[in-house]
Amino acid sequence: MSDIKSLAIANRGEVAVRIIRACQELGVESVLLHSKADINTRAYRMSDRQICIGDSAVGESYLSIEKNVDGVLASGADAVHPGFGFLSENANFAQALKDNNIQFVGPSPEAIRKMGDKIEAKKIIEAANIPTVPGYNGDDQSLATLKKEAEKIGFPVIVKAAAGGGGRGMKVIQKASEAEEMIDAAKREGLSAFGSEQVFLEKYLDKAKHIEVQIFGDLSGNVVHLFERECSVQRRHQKIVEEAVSGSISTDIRQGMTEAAVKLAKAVNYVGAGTVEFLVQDDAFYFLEMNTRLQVEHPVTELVLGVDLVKAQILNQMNRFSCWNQDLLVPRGHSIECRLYAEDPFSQGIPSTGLIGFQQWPDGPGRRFDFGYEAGDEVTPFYDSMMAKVIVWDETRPRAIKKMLKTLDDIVLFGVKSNIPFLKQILQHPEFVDGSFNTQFINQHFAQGAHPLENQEELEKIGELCFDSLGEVTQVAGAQPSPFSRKWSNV
Amino acid sequence: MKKLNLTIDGEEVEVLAQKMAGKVWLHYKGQTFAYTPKQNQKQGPAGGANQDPSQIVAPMPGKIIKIFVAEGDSVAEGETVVAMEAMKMEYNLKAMQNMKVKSIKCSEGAQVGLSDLLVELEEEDA
Repeated sequence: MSDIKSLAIANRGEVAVRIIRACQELGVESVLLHSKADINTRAYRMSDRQICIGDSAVGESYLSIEKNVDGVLASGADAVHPGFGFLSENANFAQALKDNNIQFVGPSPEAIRKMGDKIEAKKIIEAANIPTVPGYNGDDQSLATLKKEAEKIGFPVIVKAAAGGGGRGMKVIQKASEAEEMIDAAKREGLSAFGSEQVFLEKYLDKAKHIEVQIFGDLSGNVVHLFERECSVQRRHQKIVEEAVSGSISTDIRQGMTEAAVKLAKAVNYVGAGTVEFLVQDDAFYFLEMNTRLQVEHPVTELVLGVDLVKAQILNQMNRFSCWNQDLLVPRGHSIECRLYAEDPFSQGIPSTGLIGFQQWPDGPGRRFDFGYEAGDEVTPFYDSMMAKVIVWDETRPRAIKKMLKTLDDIVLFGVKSNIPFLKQILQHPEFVDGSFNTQFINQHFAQGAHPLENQEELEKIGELCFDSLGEVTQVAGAQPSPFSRKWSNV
Repeated sequence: MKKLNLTIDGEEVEVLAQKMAGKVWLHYKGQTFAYTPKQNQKQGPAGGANQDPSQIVAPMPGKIIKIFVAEGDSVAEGETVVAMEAMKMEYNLKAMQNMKVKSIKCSEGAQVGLSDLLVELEEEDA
């Protein structure tokens, strides 16, 4: 632990931008470790220095420990912030950095190893007497054993990649006949996304809420919790809308979960920001997993508590952080985050890629936009489809919902389809409004994705009018040059 | 991007609009909409579902993860024919009705483009 003058960012998109902002405010130089495809991005333009570490495919760049470590060494940076996803929970990466005397903004390789391996984490949590969901986490990974264990647990059963996260490498098996297909798929996704095909099985709770507790540990062994976030609006285990704090859990459940989260963090000598995820059903909570990194949805916690988690992470690493006093952390008002995915909401969320022609973020009090692309940039098929996050804060939950709806109305995004129409339908659904929704919400009410637009014909009519009024396009369709192309044409 | 003042049903409205890659993108009263003009529509719905049951086409650009069938195999309605991956998510492309595999036009690990033909099917007794 020592001073950080230059911080390398082993990530991309909006989270890289978020980390660069923290660096700028702390007077730390930012170095972006990026792939070839990401030269036309906002993080590339905002960072102080850029090192291209490899090709566009994630295995050739963002997921390669060797290329990231080489990039850091070449840049001379003192430390690495891994963001989320990619190598953020990879103990071997943290270890490789340590071996090269580079600081890692995050917990120790040992803590990551223990909690990152969901099976190991479950053993620790059971020893600490924190309730877990019934399941199978044995070493025998044969299909026959997994199938037998799934039947023993009772369907529906969820199969998860042991090294997984972020919704990838997870499949629900509804009945015995689907077991083989789903187990194979989870193994394949685990292998391609995380490099391991080890899986485990769990009983699938059918009407649970997904609630997670943000924790933070300083270098002196203090651990505080920063209350909970509710992330029950999920599609294929990918979160879509998150809130802080949860509008629908009892005081007892909140107290039980936050205490359990702090206990767990202390048990593994946790340092930095982490999140303990729980499922809540029938007024009981079950440990799901611990994420040893910053979460995508960290902004909602920042807005209700008035904290800056990313700056806290970096300052903590420099041993210049004085931990928050638990008693002074009191949530105020309500915050909601919507993830903007590049997808067609009316075709079951099929990814949408392409060049962004124009975008407009309607800022105002209590509105925050974390985004990674600007007009002229291209959304490529190589990475996660999350383009941006829209976060609002207001004094009450109903007002926050209203503010989010108005904000989404006024966002303009041309060139790539987004899930904004879907988000608006979610926010207006009676179950979302009254807070009774659970993780089945999307499956139950939006199984085919967003409902068709009511005024499709009107919009088509306007489209035809616009087409006539706009005249000829001067650029060649689809080959509009980036306004920044001169910056990299000689790279 | 251009601001247009249009008259719709006698009402004067403001629309933001931009032409890109054969489409008109517009923002009107809180909605963003991508419209394919009539004169471009005959090229088929870009990115839309293919309705021809004899053709399994890529609904998005991405990578072929696994091909579950071989030429001459029978496939049942709802059976997964090809698994593909884009933006780190896996998608299963399924047969729309009971058919037989006529030919396979892609290979595992290959990158494919939007609307590429992946597998051709034919009637069972053909």
